Amino acid sequence: MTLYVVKRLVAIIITLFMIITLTFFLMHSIPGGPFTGDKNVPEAVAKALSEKYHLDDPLWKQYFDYLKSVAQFDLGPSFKYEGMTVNELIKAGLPVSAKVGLLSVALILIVGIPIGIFAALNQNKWPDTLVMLLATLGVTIPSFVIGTLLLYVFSLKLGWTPAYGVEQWQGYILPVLALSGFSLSFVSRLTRSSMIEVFQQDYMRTARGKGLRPSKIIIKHGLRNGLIPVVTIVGPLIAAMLTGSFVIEKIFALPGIGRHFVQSITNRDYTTIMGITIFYAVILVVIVFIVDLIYGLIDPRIKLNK
Amino acid sequence: MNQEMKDDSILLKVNHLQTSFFTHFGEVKAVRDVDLTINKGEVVGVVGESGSGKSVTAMSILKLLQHPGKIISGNIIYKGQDLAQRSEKEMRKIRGNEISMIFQDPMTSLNPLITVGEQIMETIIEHQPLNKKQAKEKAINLLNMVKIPDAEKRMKDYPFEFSGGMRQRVMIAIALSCEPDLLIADEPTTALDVTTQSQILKLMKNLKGEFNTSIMLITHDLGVVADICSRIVVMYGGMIMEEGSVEDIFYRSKHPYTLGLLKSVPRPDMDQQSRLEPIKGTPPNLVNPPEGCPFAPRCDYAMKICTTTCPEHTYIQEGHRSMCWLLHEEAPKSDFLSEGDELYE
Repeated sequence: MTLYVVKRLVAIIITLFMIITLTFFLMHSIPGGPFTGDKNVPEAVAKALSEKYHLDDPLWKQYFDYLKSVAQFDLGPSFKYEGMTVNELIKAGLPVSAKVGLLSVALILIVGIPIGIFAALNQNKWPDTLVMLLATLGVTIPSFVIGTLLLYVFSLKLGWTPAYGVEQWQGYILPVLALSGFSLSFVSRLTRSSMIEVFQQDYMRTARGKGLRPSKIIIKHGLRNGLIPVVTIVGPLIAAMLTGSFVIEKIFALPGIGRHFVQSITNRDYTTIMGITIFYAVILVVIVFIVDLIYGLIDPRIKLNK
Repeated sequence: MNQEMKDDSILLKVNHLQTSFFTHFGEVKAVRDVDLTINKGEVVGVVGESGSGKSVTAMSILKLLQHPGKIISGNIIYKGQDLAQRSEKEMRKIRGNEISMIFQDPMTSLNPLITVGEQIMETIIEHQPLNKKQAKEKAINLLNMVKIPDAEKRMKDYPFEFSGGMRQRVMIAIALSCEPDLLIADEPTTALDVTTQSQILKLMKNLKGEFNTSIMLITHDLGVVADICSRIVVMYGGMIMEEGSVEDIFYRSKHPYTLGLLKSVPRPDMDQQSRLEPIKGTPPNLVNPPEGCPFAPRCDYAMKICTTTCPEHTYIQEGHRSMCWLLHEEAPKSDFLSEGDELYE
């Protein structure tokens, strides 16, 4: 187990290194730079700026300098937000992004899985049909369409929720719904089909044959088996939700990290692009790692020491 | 039969049981009017090919059938009370406790994510006033009893760490954990290799002696029944074709289907040139089964009446009954009646 964790951590560092390298060179291969778009910048000023941010250094030197500072957890100064470092940008946006993200993850786990079980228990009866109809819609409609529709109905027409910002807690409702819509639907569909399959397994018949209570049969014998495929998919789903959050934060004008990311690309704000990419990459690989650990805990057939 | 008279020896009596599955293709009449008696301490073999209704009969007794399966009518009298009328909650107290079941495939019958020890202990805790520690002790004893070496250590292992035969031993330990009065073994050795089969049978035989448990042994292997059972019930097309003692069935069979089964099994006394005779054809479709005897289309001795009217059971002697028109007093004398007598001479 310890050996497995160490191995995985090394793999994570290599993965991150490759992501950093690829992003760095791809980013620099885009024509233009952080200061080329601005009008009326005297040549002397542009030169001074380049010098200040070491943009006139050879690329390989910039690359190694950047690696060195990243290794010290310093993501450098932002080129466009004057006087702010990328670390500060992330720190400022993180509370909002994290809240939306974590609420969405909680929603898919706390609501999505029970919905799936409920539908499986009522297989082919009307509650199942209704729930699965909604879930099919949720899977097929993209999050920005859901977001826009939610905004139109609940903010514009009904006025129940604020249309933008998170000054009030109600501001979180629509973004969380829009962000988790796909994953919520997907998880409940998957849980349903997985549970239905588990219910037909021989060991479930054994459990009933033992005279166990229905709650014990469903939770102890059914749910753990049924959740294996769900756990497998939850990692990538969380990742998909995080990448989706750029769009959602834009639609709902949330002061999170995502909106900086979109802006920084058009601005060629090199350090911000790099910083936020690295930040999301770290979250992603860590989530996948945690999911793998949980997987090993649920299923004894998976030995984590290999 | 007079057995109704000596009531205290009867453990389970199934009367006119009918069980159907309501599928998209129509009602599948899996069990049609089955009568079955199991006495205390007796081992009854239920034989028949796949789809003959053996397992469904067993599942009906424990009321383990799930949608779309349903008991249509009949009584399942267990210790004087009709299980068919019992609620699900009352059945839970009987399942695994008074009547327990072993299933065909030990590879899939145990939960892959729960330790073997826990799977034994949960049955004990559910039905007996024991705490966890006592249940654990009992589970270890059970594992020792079914001859699993290193029982205490193996309690913590998961099913995938056991071989097929070992898993079936665990299943037997679970089934016996509450000292049931009746053990229903649904093809317990079918999925195992021959050596393991005989070990498991031997184990069941020994445990039967120890607990005095009645056993209903479902199998399609006549060798298995001959080995361990005292009485045999032959099923076909959801009906009981013939019932009798092991000797009745093997040496004095009075039913063409039973004879067909016996002829299709290799015997040690057969000379090498003789061929086994399979029963031609396939079992009947039980959606709208044909009128008359279900075996008639495959029967060499079928008469006109066989395809139109189902025969009644005829008692050849006490405890030996056969459902065949040929045994009717007006039936033409046929050589088949003596055929069964010669088979094993």
